[in-house]
Amino acid sequence: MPTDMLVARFIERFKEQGGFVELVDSWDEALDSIAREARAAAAPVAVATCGEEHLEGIRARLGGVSRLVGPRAPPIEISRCGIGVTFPIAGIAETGSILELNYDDSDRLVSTLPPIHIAYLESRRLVGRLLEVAPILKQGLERGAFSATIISGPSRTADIELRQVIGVHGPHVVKILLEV
Amino acid sequence: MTVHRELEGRVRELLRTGPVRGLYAAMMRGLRGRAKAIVEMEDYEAFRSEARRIKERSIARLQELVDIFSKNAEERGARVYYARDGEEAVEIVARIVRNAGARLVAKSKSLTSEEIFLNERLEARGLEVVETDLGERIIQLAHERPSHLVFPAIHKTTEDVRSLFSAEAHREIGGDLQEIMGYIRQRLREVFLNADVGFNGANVGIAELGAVVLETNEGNGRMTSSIPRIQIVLIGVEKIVEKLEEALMLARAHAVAATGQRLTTYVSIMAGRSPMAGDASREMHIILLDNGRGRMLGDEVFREALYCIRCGACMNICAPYSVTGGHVFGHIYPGPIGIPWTANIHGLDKAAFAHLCISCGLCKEVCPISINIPLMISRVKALLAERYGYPYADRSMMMYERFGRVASQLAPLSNWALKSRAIRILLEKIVGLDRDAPIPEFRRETFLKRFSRVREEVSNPQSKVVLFLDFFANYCRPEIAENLVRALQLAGVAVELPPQLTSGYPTISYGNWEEAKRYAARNIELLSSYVEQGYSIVSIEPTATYALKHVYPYLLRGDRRAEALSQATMEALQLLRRLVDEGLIAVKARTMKRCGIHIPCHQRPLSGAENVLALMRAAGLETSIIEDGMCCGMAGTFGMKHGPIGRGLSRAMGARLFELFKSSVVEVIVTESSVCTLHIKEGAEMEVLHPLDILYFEKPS
Repeated sequence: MPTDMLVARFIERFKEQGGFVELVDSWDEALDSIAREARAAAAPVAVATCGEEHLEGIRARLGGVSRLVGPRAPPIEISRCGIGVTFPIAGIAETGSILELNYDDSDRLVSTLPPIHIAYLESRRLVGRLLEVAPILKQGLERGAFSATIISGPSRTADIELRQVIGVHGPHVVKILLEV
Repeated sequence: MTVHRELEGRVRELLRTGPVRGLYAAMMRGLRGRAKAIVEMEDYEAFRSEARRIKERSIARLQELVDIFSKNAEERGARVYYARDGEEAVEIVARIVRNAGARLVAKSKSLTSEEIFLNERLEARGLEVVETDLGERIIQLAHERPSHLVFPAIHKTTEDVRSLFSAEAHREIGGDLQEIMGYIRQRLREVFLNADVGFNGANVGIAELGAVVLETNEGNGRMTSSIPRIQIVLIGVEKIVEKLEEALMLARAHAVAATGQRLTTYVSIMAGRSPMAGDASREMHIILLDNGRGRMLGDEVFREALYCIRCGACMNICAPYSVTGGHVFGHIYPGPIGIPWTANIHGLDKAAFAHLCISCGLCKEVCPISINIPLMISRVKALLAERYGYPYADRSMMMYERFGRVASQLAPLSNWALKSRAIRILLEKIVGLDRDAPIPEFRRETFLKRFSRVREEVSNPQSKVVLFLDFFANYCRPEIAENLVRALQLAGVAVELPPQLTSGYPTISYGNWEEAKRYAARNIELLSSYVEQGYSIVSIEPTATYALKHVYPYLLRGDRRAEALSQATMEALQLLRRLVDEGLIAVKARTMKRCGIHIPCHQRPLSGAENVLALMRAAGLETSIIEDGMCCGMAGTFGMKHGPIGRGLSRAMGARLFELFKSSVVEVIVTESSVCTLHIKEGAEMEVLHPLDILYFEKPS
């Protein structure tokens, strides 16, 4: 599938599942967006394990805006954060999902405990079909990851009278900053 | 017959109080979501076949996969246990918790843990177990059992939930849903952060990775499996597959079939215990549960139950379940697939709710793994009959063929007698035939007798067919068969009508396998020589077609002639449509009334409404399908039986469909099933006809 179609399908399906997608053309623009959200949330920001460039970028941009928690912070600290920032290894157009590989369980909590989850994803990491993530996942597990999570939108339930409620135990808002 | 009587009492009470609140809406939500998700998939049937193959090969290698899984999981640092039964599994859990000096267990939804009564047994050992899935938490606080697999607390109102949570919080929680959610989020967040042990089930185990897959929508499963220092996973051995790709396929199948999601919101794949904030001294314990699964593996019929991925789709389509709910139509495992599971895991007596199954077969059609649930249920009924005998009405209904023969021989006297109130009351008392159940009129001249007058020699026939009549077209409505035969002959098709029995499907419905096999073997014996000569078998009654095509080969596995008969069998309207399409005959309508199609359940795995719609539209009729996708509730002779597990339940099941027809603009209802005709005619109080009552055929001009 051509990249523009992959992107379009991913966005359409992720949004249908209650997620948000913001297109950015660089990591720098993504940082602007994260900073905006942090200002609005007025709460600490948890960050998952990531490359030095990304971590430094967040540190620099959030300085004076919000306190940065992590990577690899204890659960109680992450639970006090208003936003969690993660770096999925892939996006799946077929199911409108992102794939996160975790080397430490605190990384999982960054996309679980704060009410807002922001994921930075480069469009080159999009695959068409669910099964295409299998080799990525296996490779990750061979290289020391302990778990992986495929996330397809915000936490939800319809357990009471079938009324759909977004945001139960996990995030109310899941926003992908998709670099195209 | 104590178990049957007890069940009757519960159904009678339910019929008095009305269907379980909200249940039907939940089922429809699942069904509609599933339908929408399927449309989006490129080739759902190919996907479904692949999902089935995954389960087939995994179960075939079960012991080997258990070994590979255990070895790989242990290499990743997990501790793996094999529990032969529930007590052993509970003891393992309790030991792990005790050794950790822990008291609080945060638990995410796990049907397997309910199977072994884990909560009650841990609480009896002084431990605190907190369910963290919202629906399960509601049920736990209410001290009840789930009434639906996906929506366990569907029978509870917002007000019920508010009261439960207010009692727990010792303060008033507001009635607004957001406030309730705020409370549960805060309350359970404390549990997640403070629990010493996190407990979760698993949807799939992956042997090659020694990993488990956990699917949740709320996110609680992610927390119970990550925050506590000790993680315990309980997984039924049947859930292990070899490869990651297979696990991903099953995760997709599960979400599509259960809720119509593309994937469950969080699909977590966990391989070994992850460190937390650098702390690597954490533990993962995986308990592989047998608890009767090994026995099921060795059973030719029940082995297929191990293919179940617990999506709950079978209960979403089940008409009796829609009325009775999981508390009556279930023990721990509810719904259709719950019947073979209960019989094997919790004992035959607990599976007496098998009597509520109406053998419509839709559970198999909706199952993402195409599990032959109806025939497993029939087997459970057979085992119940071995222990307790057949309920008397079931026994009578299985003698339907003899009844039809006698009633036909005695017509019109029998018709007069069957209209007599006194005789009907007597019949109700003696054979269990409900005094008010609609009964067709019988003809003295059956179609088997009439055929010689209808049959014409066809020179150079374009094809040769044998007509399979079944009950109704022979004893009650020979004109339908006559219309068919004349149309076929007009198109140059040679028709034969050798001696034959009816399909015998009621014997399957009520679980008499010996008799069902006798019917199958006899019909195969009578028809096989024709099949070998190249005849097609053309069947009028959908249930009979279903029996010939799908049930006989199952009953007589390995019998080449049963397979050949199945292959040669086609629906009457399928052939007529082909002949019309080929221009050999033209189809006309006797009326121009607006028609509403009712699709009989057994026709859904055949052509559905495809052929009848095509023919009626070709005849210029305005036609639409009226349905909610479930059985109308008649289910052969089920709706003729006296009592709550019979006409009572049948009428309750049909009520929704009757309303759909009544509120539609259609003027006449059309269906190919004889018994659906009787039921809907009475319930909807509308004219109900067979397509061959409305359509006729001519030589093309």
